[in-house]
Amino acid sequence: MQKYTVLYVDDEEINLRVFRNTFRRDFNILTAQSAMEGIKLLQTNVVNIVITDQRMPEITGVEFLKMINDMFPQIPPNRLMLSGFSKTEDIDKAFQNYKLFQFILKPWDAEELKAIIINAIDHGAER
Amino acid sequence: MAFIFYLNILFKSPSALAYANKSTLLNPPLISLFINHWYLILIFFLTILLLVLLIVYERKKHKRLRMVLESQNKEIVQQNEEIECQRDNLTEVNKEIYKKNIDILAQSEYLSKLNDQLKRKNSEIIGQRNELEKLSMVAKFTNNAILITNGEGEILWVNDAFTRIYGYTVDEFIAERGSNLKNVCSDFEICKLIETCLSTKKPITYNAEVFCLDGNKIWIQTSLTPVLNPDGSIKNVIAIDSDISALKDAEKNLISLGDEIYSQATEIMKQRDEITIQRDNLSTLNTELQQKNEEISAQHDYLVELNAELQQKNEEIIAQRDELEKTQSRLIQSEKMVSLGVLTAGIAHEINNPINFVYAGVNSITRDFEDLMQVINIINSYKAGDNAQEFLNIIEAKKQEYGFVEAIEAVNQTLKDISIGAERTAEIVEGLRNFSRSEREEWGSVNLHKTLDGVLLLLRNKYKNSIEVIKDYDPSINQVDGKAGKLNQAFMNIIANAIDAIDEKGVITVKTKKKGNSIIVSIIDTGKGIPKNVLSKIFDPFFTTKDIGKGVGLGLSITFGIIQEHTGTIEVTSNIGKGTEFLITLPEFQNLV
Repeated sequence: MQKYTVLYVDDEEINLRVFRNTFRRDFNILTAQSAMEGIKLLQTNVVNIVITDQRMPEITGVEFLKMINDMFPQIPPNRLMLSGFSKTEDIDKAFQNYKLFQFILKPWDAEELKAIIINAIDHGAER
Repeated sequence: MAFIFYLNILFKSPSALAYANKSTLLNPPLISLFINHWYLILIFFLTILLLVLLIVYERKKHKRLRMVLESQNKEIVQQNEEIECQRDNLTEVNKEIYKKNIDILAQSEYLSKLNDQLKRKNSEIIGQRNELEKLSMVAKFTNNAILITNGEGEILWVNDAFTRIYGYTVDEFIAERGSNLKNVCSDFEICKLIETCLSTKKPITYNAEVFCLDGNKIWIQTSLTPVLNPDGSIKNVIAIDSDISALKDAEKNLISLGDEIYSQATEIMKQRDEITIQRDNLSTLNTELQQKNEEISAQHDYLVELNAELQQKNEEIIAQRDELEKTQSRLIQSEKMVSLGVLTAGIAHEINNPINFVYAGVNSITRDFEDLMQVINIINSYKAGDNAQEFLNIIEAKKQEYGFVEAIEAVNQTLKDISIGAERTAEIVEGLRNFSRSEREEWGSVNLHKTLDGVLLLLRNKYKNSIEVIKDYDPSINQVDGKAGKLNQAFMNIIANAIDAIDEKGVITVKTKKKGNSIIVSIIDTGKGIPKNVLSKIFDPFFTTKDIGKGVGLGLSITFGIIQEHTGTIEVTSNIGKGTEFLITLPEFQNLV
């Protein structure tokens, strides 16, 4: 069985590391510490799902999603957002316009998040 | 010639004088002058002659007159001597008249004295007459019986009241009782008293019970007064009787009452003596107390008045103070809430990340541990006698299968990450705790750098995307006397403002420096700067440049108050477009009493 490839973007290095250590058995994991790094990875890799933090220096999560929407229309329309704080109007816009599938509050539970990721990928594949 | 010339000068014009001055006496004009006025010269000589004749005549006349006057004078002297002689005679006569005059005066004085004596006698007689009139009135109208006897005690006269009291006329009385005072009384003792009075010739008073004409007995009080002749013998005796029956009745009652009272009185007297002693003591004490009491009373009244006034004022002030305190705490609270509100978003994000390290990390380790346990279980299953090489191969296969090396590495890493997460969470909580300390917190030692770090941590989320923070701490600074929560709040307000002042990218420098006993904290931003007209108002309460809901304008005013409470100073310098520096100076040690 081929592993799905997940791109996770977060400015906190530890978040990326914990994520990778938790799901390294389940998914093929790509991580980036900024939106620009994430764009670079998207240009050279096939990715099944994008997970991003919202609050990041320079480019926020919503802005990043918009960039993906504009630059990589072939990527399946399922994105997850992980954030420490509640949703904002920007994020609501992302649901409508930038193919955001679910908003998840930190801290996350490994089993739950795994289920959500798989669900999101399956949901995108059905489309 | 010279004479005539000078006469001419006297009589004539100045022109002649003018010629004279030229010393030409015989010049033709002068001669002609004499010839022309010869008649004048004649008249002059005639006049002189006349005057001499007149004088001679007058002198003869005077001589005659003086002789007449001298003869007259002699006559007058003669007459004068005669007059003097007469005057001497008159003086003699005058002296005699004077002597007679003195005699007459003496007689006149004597007569005047005599007259005075007569006048006095007359007024005495008038006085005596008035006295008699009064006495007569007294005798007639008094309620006392008056009786007058002669020296032997024979009754001579009684007044009207006598008849009124006893019912007898004087004649009836004498007819029944005899005419002598000594015998009229039936009581032997009384008779003896009367005799004593007559023999000793001294006034006496006695009470007696006597019979009236109607047979009734009455009590009388009698005063006997002997009136003496010049030779010492008794001339008259005056007896004055008063009806004292009513008094006697009252006396009887009083006596019986008196006996009772006496027995009680003796008892009371004893008690009274005791009480008197106590009372005297008490009295002095009482006077003192009363005096003090009055003083106290006056003071009390004054104090009560004062107290009422004070109480009223106090109540007013308390009410005002309560109101102010409420308002103040509401305002401070609201300002705090605004700052907190701004922070909350950031803090939630900030705190959820490190919590995520822990939370997700534990999940991760659990999984790794499960994998590791697979290998460990295999290792544990090794029994003595098993083929070691074979067993190692199995273990190696399991290690490959469960990613043993990877898992060990992950566990190590994740444990570190969890530790970081836990530490960061604790720091944030500490920072929040400082921020939310109570208003009435105690003085203590504050770790200045930790406080600044805590503030920066809480605000990290506000600045981390755009602002670089440079910390330039003086390592010689250790502890500062202060209130941790309040200092935290003060720095929070200033640094938050610094962050707000920077629109896009910028730098905030937090610098500390120790200078003697002072600690200097400098917070410099590269923001837009504060205009000069605003700079003077930034510490004013309720002054704000922020939008409604972003702050009520108390932040820096509270900060100012906090620095003042720490006996520190706060200075601001600002350049438009370049940035702002807040310079806070705090004493290292507070003079806490």
